[in-house]
Amino acid sequence: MPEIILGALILIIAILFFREYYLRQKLLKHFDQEEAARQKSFELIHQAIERSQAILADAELDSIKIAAQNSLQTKKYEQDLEQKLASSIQETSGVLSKEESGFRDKLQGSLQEFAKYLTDLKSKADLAQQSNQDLIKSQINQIFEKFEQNLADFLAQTEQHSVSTIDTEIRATRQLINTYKEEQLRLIDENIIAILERTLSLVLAKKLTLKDQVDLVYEALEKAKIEKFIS
Amino acid sequence: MEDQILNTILKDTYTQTQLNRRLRLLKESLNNQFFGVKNNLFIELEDQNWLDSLDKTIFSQFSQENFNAQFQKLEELGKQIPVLSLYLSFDPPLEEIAKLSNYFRTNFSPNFLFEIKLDPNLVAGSALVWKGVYKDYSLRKYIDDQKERLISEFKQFIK
Repeated sequence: MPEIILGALILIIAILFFREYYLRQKLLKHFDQEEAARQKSFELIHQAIERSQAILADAELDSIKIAAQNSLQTKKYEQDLEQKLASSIQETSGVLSKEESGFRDKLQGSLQEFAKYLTDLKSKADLAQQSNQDLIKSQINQIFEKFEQNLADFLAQTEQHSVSTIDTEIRATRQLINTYKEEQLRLIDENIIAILERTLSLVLAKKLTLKDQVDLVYEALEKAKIEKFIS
Repeated sequence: MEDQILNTILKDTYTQTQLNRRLRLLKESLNNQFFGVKNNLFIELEDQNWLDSLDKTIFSQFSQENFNAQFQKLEELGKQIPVLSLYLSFDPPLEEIAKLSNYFRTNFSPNFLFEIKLDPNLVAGSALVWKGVYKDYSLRKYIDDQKERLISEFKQFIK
């Protein structure tokens, strides 16, 4: 039995050894292929760099050519432009001189028209001033007339008012005088009665006898009796 | 009884002043008689004559017991008699006052009392006050009533 197991182990180990060997061979082959490819790619990169440098040199040459052509073309354009500008200025100055003479004529005409307008305006202003003066005179005259009329009315009203006031005052004064007169007359009348009573009192006191006095008292008592004053 | 005494006193008493004085005289006389109180009132001859003329039966109606009550009633009765104020322009003598009293007592009331007051401004005639009402029957009133006519006639006289 152990021989069997040993034999199996040896077999297994041999198998594993062969397998490892095969795999290592395969890996080495693969490394070789990769190295060849890398070499090839380096060659391709080198070729590309050389080609791009050539292209850059061509491009620089082309750009120099184009710049020179541009400079030449620009000078040519400038010359053309100067010529065209000079001719254009010449034409414009001709037109301007023509326009100037036309403008001067028009200006002269306008000035004449303006002078005429000013003359007309002055005559109109003179007329308007005259008209205004007349209107102002007329209005002032109207104002004076109105003022005179108002003053006359005011004076008339004042006179009327004064007359009315004086009339009222006179009436009041007359009334006062009449009242005073009536009051004085009333006082005089009362004084007359007082004097009469006093005189009668003095005279009758001396002239009336006791019998007369008593008779008058009985006469009064009879009146009171008739009037039923004493009940 | 008090009525009888008052009527006796009023026979020759015409004015309220007289009545008041005579009641006081009688009172003081009886007071002296009953209680020996001396008179405070000055008694004139006229007063003494009146006291002497009084009927003696009047005195017999008073006693020490009823003195105060009797006199109180008597004074109250005296106050109840209405009084006429008679305004005159002259001072009448006693005879005329008696005649006037007789007139009043004949025409109005047997116990009639009046009070004479002097007013010289009345000129003549009299004015009366009865129960608080004044009535002028004097010559002054007549002149006042005829004032307008008198003034107009006076003015005509002046013209």
